[in-house]
Amino acid sequence: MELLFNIYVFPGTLFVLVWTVFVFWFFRKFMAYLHKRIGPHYNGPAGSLQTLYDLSKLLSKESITPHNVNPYLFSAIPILAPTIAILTVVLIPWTPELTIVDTSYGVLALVVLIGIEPFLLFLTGFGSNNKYSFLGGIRILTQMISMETSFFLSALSPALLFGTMNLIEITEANTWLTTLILLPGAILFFISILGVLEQPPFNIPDAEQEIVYGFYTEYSGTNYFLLKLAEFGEFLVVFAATITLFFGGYRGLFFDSFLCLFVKMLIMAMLMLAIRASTPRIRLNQMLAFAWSYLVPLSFLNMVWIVIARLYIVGGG
Amino acid sequence: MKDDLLEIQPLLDKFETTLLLRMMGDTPLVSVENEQLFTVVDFLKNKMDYSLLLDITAVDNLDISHPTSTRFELIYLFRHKEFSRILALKTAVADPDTGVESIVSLYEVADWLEREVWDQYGIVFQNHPTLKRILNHNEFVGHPMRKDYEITKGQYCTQTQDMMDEMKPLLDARGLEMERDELMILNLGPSHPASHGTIRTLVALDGETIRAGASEIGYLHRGFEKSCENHTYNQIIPYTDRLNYCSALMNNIAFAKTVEDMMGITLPDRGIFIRVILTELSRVIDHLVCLAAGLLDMGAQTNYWYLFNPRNNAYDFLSKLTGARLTNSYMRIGGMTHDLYEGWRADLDDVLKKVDSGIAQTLQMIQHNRIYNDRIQNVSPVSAEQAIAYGFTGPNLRASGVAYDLRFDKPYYYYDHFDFDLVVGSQGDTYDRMMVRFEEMLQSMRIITQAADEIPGGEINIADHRIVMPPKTAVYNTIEGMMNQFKLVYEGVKVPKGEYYGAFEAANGELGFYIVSDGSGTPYKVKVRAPSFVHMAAYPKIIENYQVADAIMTLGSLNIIAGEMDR
Repeated sequence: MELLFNIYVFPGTLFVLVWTVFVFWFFRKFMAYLHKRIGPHYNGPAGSLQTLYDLSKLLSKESITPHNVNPYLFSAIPILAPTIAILTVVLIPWTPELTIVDTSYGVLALVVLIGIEPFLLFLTGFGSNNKYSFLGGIRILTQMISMETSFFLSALSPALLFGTMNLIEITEANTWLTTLILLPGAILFFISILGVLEQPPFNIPDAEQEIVYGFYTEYSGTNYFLLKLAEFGEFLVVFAATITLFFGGYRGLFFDSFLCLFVKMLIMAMLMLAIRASTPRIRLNQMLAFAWSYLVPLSFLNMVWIVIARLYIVGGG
Repeated sequence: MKDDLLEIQPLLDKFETTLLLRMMGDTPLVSVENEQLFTVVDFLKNKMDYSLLLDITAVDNLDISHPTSTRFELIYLFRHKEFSRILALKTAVADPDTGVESIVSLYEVADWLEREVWDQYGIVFQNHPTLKRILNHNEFVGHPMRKDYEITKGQYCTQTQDMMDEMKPLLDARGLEMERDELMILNLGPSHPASHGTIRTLVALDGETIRAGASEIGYLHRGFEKSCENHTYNQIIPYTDRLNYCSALMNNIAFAKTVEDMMGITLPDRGIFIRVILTELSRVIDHLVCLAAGLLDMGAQTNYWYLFNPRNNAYDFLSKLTGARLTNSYMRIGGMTHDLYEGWRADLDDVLKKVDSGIAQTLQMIQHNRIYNDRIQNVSPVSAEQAIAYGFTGPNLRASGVAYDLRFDKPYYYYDHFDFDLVVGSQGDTYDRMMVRFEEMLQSMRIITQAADEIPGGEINIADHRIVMPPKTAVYNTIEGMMNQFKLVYEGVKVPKGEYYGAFEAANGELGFYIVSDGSGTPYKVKVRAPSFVHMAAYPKIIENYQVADAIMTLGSLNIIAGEMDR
């Protein structure tokens, strides 16, 4: 019974859906505030039901499958992508009591499941039989390969510092001091996930003005909704992962609860949106240069710093 | 006028067959023998420094009762290196099928201009590299601007062309092969989020790098010039709104001013000042649109709103003044529909304040933004010589470091009395093209403030009621007023016989109207010298060897307006 609750309600499917609806609205409202617009306004208090309407509209629209594509590949990915995104929530310690899969390889599993997502989207680009989607697919692959190294390396820094890959142990071991030590790693991790999640300034793969909608171009209706759900599921997982790895997860100043995690995640979302609002998109070759000549070397330096900190500051063995 | 004649004396001396026909305003119109055209143009370019080819067009003399020469005549308009002087060449075309020698080898801009003449009039240009249709559809039959082509005759054309007839020679010239070099052909447009209208550019991609490009335009061609031929001059003004719809008022003013210059009338000072204020406000709006859309193409969404909100305020002001937001049609030949409303100054100041803060906020966000600067600096640079060869005018030419602005070089409307600066760039890259526009907006606002401060009272229209509508009391109470109204509505403003080229510094560059009048109330011929048309011709050339992302930015920074380009 509890397992069923976990799968369908929290932290499973329903939670991800509610999160998608809420965060979509929150993104729009917050962006509108930065843009000096109003944003969603008419449906529900402060337009909060707008996303629900959008969702139901997308579900009721036809999902067009273009000619000359492999229909299995084309339709499989919109199912696979959100599944994998939602699957990842089992690893996160949501509350002090609730972690569905408590494994000593938590960090590794998390990194792998997050890292696999862009490859699925890359397949959509190849499966769409559209030149823009193809370009989007190539771009996503290029970007993923460039960002992956620093993403993995910086994700491993807390594991190295605390000497464990268990996410609960990492959360519990977190103190103000370790947060400070991990801060460079956290910044590197944040930049890398902007790349992995295709968020500005690294939203090169679905650069609307350049290659229409990149890998999304041919998707419509329910398929599009599922891909969007995957994207927001990714946000959920990645935000939660960042907070868990670097900023003490569910632990708060006065009490430990899911609420603390949630507030921290919203702060992170706002940070991401502020970056989105203030930076133009960079070019593919600039992204490559940035990733390989700055991010990757800095990630290695960060590892060295973590080792030094572990030996001399935290005082581990 | 005397100086102008002295200037062209070498030409008349060198070629005995050339003949000064008459002056169009202060532009000398010189007739040239058909066979000598190429050598004369060569002489003009290399010896007399007429380096900027403005326009090529033709006149069909079929409906003229006593034509002085053959049915078709070609008109070439050149601008001198020092920019204040224009020279017009006229040559009679004996047989349109043999036509004349192409001058593409002398002026790169002639490529599309000659194609347009062939498309519209069916005059062949020998040795032209790709003489094919440009504005009309490739399946179109006949040549619409000929007088024996009925205005109302439409044609259904359905098949698109694959453009490989243009792409293949480009690839061959670069030694590229589709298969061997693994190139991918991609259509950027006609419906593409960044094509800002309906423009198709076919590019050959090597990875993400553009190796060759060819543009197809004409998706918005609606026969503006042909429609002019059965409308009175005042009826044409709403059509001019649709040329550059981002700064509609400016087109109104440019057209009205050209016709007024043809008739030799000058507006009362108040009318001129209102026109200056509205021109500069339109320039600000146009640049706001260009920059906002350009920045949006880069993914800088916030700047889009920061620039579009003040634009909206400006449109609110225009809507209060003219009754329309986008297509204002506020001007008339000899003046405008009505005076400024009471309290306009406060509204205008409010708009200016908001525009100013919008620009300031945007500049704050991008001016020292490393990503912004790295993205567009050294992208598609156009050198000064290249820009002139491409026929660039306006901000795009100034970005290349050429100090050409009609408001300085040939001031009209008291522009020489206003205190403002000429903005020039240095590299001619995308960055310069955008930053020149930012600075020009600030200069335009300086002009607006000065003009609004100094605006005199009095009439806005000229007093001649054969040209402007008489007041309604006169129409109802006097026979003269009644007759004036009747004649104006039914026959239109009578413009003296002759031809004229009027140039105007519009937001995008030199907007020119070449008008031929046969003395009646409707023009015999109107040709628009649209800056976007020539800018677009250069676009596929300057994006070569840059990336797709750069090409999008270049298109945004050139500010191609399809309504003006396709006419």
